[in-house]
Amino acid sequence: MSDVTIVGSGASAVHFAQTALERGLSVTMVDVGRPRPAPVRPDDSFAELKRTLDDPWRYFLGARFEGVLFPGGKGEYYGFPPHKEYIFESIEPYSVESRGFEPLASFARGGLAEAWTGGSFPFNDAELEDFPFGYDDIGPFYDLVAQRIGIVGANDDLARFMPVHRNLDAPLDLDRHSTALLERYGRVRERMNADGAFFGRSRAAVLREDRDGRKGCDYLGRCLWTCPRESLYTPAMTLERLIAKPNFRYLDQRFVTHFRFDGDRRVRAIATLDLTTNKVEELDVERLVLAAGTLPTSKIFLDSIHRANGERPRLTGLMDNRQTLVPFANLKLLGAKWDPDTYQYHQLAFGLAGRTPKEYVHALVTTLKSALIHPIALSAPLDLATSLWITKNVHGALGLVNVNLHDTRRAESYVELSGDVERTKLVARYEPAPTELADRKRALSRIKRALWQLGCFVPPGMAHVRPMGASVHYSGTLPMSKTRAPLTVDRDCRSHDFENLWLADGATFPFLPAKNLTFTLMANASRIASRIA
Amino acid sequence: MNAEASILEREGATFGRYLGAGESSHRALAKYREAHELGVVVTSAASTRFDRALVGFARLGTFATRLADTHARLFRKGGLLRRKLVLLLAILETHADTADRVDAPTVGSPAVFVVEVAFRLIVFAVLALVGLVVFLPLRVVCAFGSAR
Ligand SMILES: Cc1cc2nc3c(=O)[nH]c(=O)nc-3n(C[C@H](O)[C@H](O)[C@H](O)COP(=O)(O)OP(=O)(O)OC[C@H]3O[C@@H](n4cnc5c(N)ncnc54)[C@H](O)[C@@H]3O)c2cc1C
Ligand code: SF4
Repeated sequence: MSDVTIVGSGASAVHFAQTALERGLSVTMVDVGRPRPAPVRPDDSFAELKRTLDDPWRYFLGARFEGVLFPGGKGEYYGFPPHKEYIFESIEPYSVESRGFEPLASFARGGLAEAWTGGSFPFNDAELEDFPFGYDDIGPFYDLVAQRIGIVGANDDLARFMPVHRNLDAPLDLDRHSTALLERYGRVRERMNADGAFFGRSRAAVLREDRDGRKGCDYLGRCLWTCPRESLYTPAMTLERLIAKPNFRYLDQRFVTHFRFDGDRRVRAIATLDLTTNKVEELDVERLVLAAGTLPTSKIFLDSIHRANGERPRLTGLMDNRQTLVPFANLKLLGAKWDPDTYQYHQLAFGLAGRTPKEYVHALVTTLKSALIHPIALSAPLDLATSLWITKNVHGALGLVNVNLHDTRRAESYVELSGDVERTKLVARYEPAPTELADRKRALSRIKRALWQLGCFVPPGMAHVRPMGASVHYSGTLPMSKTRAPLTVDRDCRSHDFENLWLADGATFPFLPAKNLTFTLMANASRIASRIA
Repeated sequence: MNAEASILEREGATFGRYLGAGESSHRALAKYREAHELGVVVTSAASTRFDRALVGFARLGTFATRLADTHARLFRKGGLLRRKLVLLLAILETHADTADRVDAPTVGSPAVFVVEVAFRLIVFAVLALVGLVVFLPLRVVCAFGSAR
């Protein structure tokens, strides 16, 4: 039996595992672990693939054209690559019913962050106020994770909102549009700052230079299409390296249904369903770490209690960041050429000071470079030829701001079980905070004002409020608590209900700042792994 | 190639010219046909009698396509014609032969852009009115036909 058994192979799980191994513990990782397809022509850029692939349509649009966003289809301002669909593929034994919430889960090797955009922002002391520790405690683990995965960014105006941790590498080269925005900010900075709006380099988990077998970014413009050079970090890279280590055992194709505990509330074993044979097996555990993502972790936790004594507790406090996508056009760049060989994701960000530091608004700015444009062309209220003509002439001037609001734990947002014991469903309910609408409107008008000061125009009616659940920053269902209480965990994310159970994902967050949480998930998982021994 | 396949390829060629991509390659047109054969384009909701009539009209030539598409954008934006055009655009933008033609800027400055957009918007408005005159009776006929 390993010292530690971890469920999941996402961002939280792999960093927990790596730290535990570094501390001399043996680790078994149990995971569904859908593998990702091998990268295609790793040295070709996005534009080159259209020439060098035998069947570029199959790659870009999918064998059944599932990458085409038809009118009225469910999609946003970009086409999602068909070869990434394995990341979100559901599996039969996991079932969720939701209201006010559109939940996603991943059963891929590496989890949801196989599709992430790499945004890596440390929380500051104000944002950690409800956590039972402060920046001084987690700071060294931000440094550690940054060293492991590579994070680029700058010590600029946004540093007032995001601490500058160690091992922050110099940012990537900017594309033409982002350069123009940053130059303009230099001229209007004081005016914008007076309004509480700050602008600067985003932070992203991407390598500038070759490191640890991964290659530095070569500006292939394929980030959304899965970086073939491993420059943009994903957890599957860590997993691959962990598998080569002697004290590490990886059991994939196993869906964990629940854990079994004894009368002293000590976890004895986990029950796994082998997805290749459909057999249920038990695996004894010494210490169990659930890192299956907030919703699957909550389900395993609830199913375990339900099977043992029939109880169905409600886990309140489900959180997620409300996101609004705001497209804009830079008036000076209308008709300008765009450079396809650039980093594709956000390179810039807005930080808007809130009424209190916890109400900070975080907004990532992605200028449009290499992308499929048919989803954009079809969204304009004109015939397709005219829309296309406009789209191609504004392509180099277009961008998208993703505005994120913070969230708090509330009783009205929760998860619980429904259904028969052998086939339970996770029920997820989300009620926005009473102030959300007003907060969202205020943030939107501030972002529009800031964009205008940067010489950019937001076409009326084009801002898109994403449904709750779309940001995939789920958290809060089994929170860290300074006091001992049921359905909570302690400072080290050790369960108050089961003495040898730890939770290492977003379920434990007592507050969700507007900043994307995954860097903190990884740092926190490393922090608790360092204290588990 | 059977008759239906060759109609689809001719249709694709007309629509490609309408989208400003010039002559589409045989392979692009074959992909366009393949998508139809896989059943991803024609759905029951998007394929009423009127939708089919609009596509038939659009096949007559690039001007007819523009007129039909203008009307479709206003009154049948999820209909068959729009689905076909969007599919073709996706095909054209993902092959090097046509990618630049559909996704490279053609105006050099913001001023030229603004003037040309204004002109195109006027054309759109005029065609929208012409489309009403042409397609409303057709719509009535189609609705009457399906009621029977
Ligand atoms: C498109 C997109 C963009 C994003 N961009 C960003 C960003 O820029 N910055 C940011 O901070 N965050 C971003 N995120 C969010 C980020 O991906 C998640 O916060 C993060 O992946 C959560 O990691 P996790 O390890 O906690 O859980 P997950 O990633 O959900 O991993 C769960 C793991 O558990 C396994 N598993 C689940 N259930 C079971 C079970 N019952 N039995 C066995 N194994 C199981 C799965 O196989 C998987 O390996 C983005 C997400 C998406 C989808
Ligand atoms: S631009 Fe994106 S895809 Fe290309 S090397 Fe850099 S991170 Fe990878």
